[in-house]
Amino acid sequence: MKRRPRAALTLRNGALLAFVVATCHFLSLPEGVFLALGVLTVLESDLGGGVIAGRERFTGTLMGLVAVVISSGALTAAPQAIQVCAGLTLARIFGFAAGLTSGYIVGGQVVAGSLLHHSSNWWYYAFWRTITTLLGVMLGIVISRQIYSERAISQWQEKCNSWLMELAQALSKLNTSPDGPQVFQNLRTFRNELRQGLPELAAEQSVLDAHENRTLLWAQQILQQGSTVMSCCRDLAPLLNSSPKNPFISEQIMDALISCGCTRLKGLTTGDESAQNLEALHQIQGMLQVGVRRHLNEDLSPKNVMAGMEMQSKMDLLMASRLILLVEALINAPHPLPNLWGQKHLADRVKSW
Amino acid sequence: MKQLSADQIRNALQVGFAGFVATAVFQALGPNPNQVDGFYILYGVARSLLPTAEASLAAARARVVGTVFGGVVVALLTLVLSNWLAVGIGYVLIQLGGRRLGLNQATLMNACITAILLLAVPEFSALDGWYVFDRAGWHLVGLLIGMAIERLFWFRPALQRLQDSEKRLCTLMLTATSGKESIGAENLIGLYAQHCKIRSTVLQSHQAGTLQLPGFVERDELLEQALQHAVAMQRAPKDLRHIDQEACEEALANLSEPLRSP
Repeated sequence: MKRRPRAALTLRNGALLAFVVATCHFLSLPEGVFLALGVLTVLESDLGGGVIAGRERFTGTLMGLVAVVISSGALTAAPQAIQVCAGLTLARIFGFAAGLTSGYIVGGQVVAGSLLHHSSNWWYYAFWRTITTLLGVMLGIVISRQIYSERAISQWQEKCNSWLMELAQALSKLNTSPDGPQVFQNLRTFRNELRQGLPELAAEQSVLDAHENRTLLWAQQILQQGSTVMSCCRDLAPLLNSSPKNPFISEQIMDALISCGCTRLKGLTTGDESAQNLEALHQIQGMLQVGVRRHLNEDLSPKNVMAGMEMQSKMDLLMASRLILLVEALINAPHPLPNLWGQKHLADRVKSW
Repeated sequence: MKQLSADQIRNALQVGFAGFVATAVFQALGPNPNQVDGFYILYGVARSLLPTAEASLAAARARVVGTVFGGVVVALLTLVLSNWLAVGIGYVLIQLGGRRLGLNQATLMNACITAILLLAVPEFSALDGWYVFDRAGWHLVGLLIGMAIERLFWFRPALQRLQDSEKRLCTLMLTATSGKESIGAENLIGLYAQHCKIRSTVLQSHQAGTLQLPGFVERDELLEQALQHAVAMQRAPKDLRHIDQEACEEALANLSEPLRSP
């Protein structure tokens, strides 16, 4: 699914909001404005973000309704200030218990609207507000899914590809002129931003295909393996620079590892990767394991480590650990999802026509 | 259903008390405070007291600026058009104009809400500009009440939150190195990302200088080292895990001295 131009989405939302408001007027729907606000909440973001925002809004409204019913029912004779105090406290408690991250604000607004603005007919107001919010959120999700849909996965994948390309660049410099800590800090910030997008992918998946969570699993795995590549490069950079000679694999194999690793990372962004490249990484992994085992058994056995050399042996072990992890992560990084890349290839082909 | 934390219970009580104060102000306005949209004072309270004081301030700013911006756009638009079509056109104008002015998403959302309410609710349309004035003003009063209560009870500055977060991370890493409990690498990464967020909040506050002091810089580096090894320990091959375990324990031992506030 390609990313949509922002202006076109703005026009879509504007037209739909006008239509929704007109329909509510035409039908004389009680508290119809909350239907429009429910639609707006969902449409303001991509599908995944909209689903989360819609859930928060509806659940918050429902929690607010429950809080109003309890505080009004239990404290009928109490002064209005006490009722409001109890209502707002309960709305927050219910919101937190339901795991809301922002919907409790709407819950508080339901309490405010019911107990201060519509205190004489709060049940009518709170009930219809809840119903119209539910309708609005549902309508928003249907529109966001069916009409000129913008998917969270498109944006996420674009970002993820940039991250993988930067990782490939960092890996390519590992043996010659490794990047400084700032580059890895930036890569980590980038990774954290991608991690923050995972709930939106999960929410999007839940309305697109509730039985499949392939997209989310793929995203989690690519982040996990990419993170390992990133931290290994960060740790290996100073170790390879300070150590006169890599004790586990020859210079040529190290170069091959970097080259195949870069090809693999780039392949993950385009979906094109030869089977030979992966095979070569498997072979390098085998050679590395043999090298590490030999080094552990012979050179680093306690009787061979001379006094004062413990530090060097620790460095060697750390290098071994990171090299093994690096190759493993490169091999285990998942291929792009076929459905996503099928569409990209189709788009590329259309462009070439 | 999730179990509530002590912070969440405190927050709920604070909101309740702020609501109590706001309702008292509302009642003091006279026999019919809703004539001047006084109920919006409680909407302001409901929008304040977010998980951090910085988030509350940002939300307050977005609400007030958004309300005024949306009101101005609708006021200009209604000179030409005031039927349901105006809702769509108003939305587009707010989005395009607001983005050009550099307004953030939350502010634009608030502006759109104001536009919809002004154009779709006849009761509010009848008030014209006064609706925007009343709504923004009473929201501001409610938000200020909320933020005052936030400062008065259980207030924790960003630096203190950073120290608490550091303590939590250290405890978790100690548990991980001792092997008592398995703590996933992804969990540690997530918690450290939150820690870094709090750190950047401190760096934007008046306490930023404290973090530049040598003791604090050193602690920060030690925490970073400990975390790097704790994460690697979860991923490393079994027979090489002890290297990261030892390095993590060493960094944590150096961190064990409590961080002193200035």
